Amino acid sequence: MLAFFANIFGYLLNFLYEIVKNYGMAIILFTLIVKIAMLPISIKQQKTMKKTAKIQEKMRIIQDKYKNDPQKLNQETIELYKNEKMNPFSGCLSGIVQIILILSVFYLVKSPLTYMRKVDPVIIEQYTNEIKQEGNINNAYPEMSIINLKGTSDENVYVDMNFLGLDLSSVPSQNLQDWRVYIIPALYVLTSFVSMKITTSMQTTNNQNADTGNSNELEAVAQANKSMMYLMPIMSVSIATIAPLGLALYWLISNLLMIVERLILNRVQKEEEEN
Amino acid sequence: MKKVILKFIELYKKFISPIFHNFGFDCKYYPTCSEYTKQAIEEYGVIKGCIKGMGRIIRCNPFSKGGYDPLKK
Repeated sequence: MLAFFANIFGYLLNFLYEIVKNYGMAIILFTLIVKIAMLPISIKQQKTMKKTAKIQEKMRIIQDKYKNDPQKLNQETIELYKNEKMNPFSGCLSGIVQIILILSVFYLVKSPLTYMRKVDPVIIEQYTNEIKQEGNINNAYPEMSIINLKGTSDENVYVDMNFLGLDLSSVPSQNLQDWRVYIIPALYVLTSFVSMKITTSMQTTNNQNADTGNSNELEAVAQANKSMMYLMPIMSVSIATIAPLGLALYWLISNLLMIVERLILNRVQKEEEEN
Repeated sequence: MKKVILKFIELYKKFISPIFHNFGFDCKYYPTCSEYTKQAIEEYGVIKGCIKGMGRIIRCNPFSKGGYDPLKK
């Protein structure tokens, strides 16, 4: 199923690649298009952020209060859901869509010849075996070896991986001596922290408006969120170091776009509130 | 088959669902989509139950209302 989505995204990425003739630029445009497509969801979430914080707060209080009484907890939760006319949570489908998106982009970046260039699997197989015999194969990402070694002689398997002097086909954990592979992952970590700072600062102002719960509870929750906050970029960075740099570039650009989007939406919302 | 799927849903609720929650994705219904699917499978069997569960998940998007939505028997 993931291969199916990777194929669809591959058409889009290939279309962009045909225009700009550069893999890095194509990834940037691709990220931009994905973000724009998701914009209605982001706007919706931004608008209901305050309400979301409020309901989450109420839920937490109920859960804490009836920790030892599951039946009462059920009843109270039903009551809460009935009383709130509209639940602003983003819902299960959004989570699933995100997961599919992340994994299919990983597929796409891992095998650009299959999913983006739509090269015949027979040809890929043949080149893989040839390179294997020469002993230069990259076992985790054979298509990267094909692009690098056979791309110069056969333009069907050629992808311009050079982006501002960086080789996007290289895998950080396999090129530890080359300092250039660290640039994109490092920028990615940096932008992650910036975007988290923005999000948390927005949430705390929201929480101050929603004056529910006692401060001890709030602190415990904030602490839990904090540890989660660091876990996420650590996880992503570990994945980014074992994947070709193209993936890290996609994440970096989507982080940057998210920051821009948050700032703009925040401003728009503030202006609306003032008027 | 039925038991395997129900076990899988149990595992999802225990281990995967909290991760979703931490990334800001919460179910907007009560009972949650996983609980709903579980009940549906118990009530209608694997095939019809899964179809009902999937329908529920599709309804659980940012543009729906959410709220109290028990399995109709």
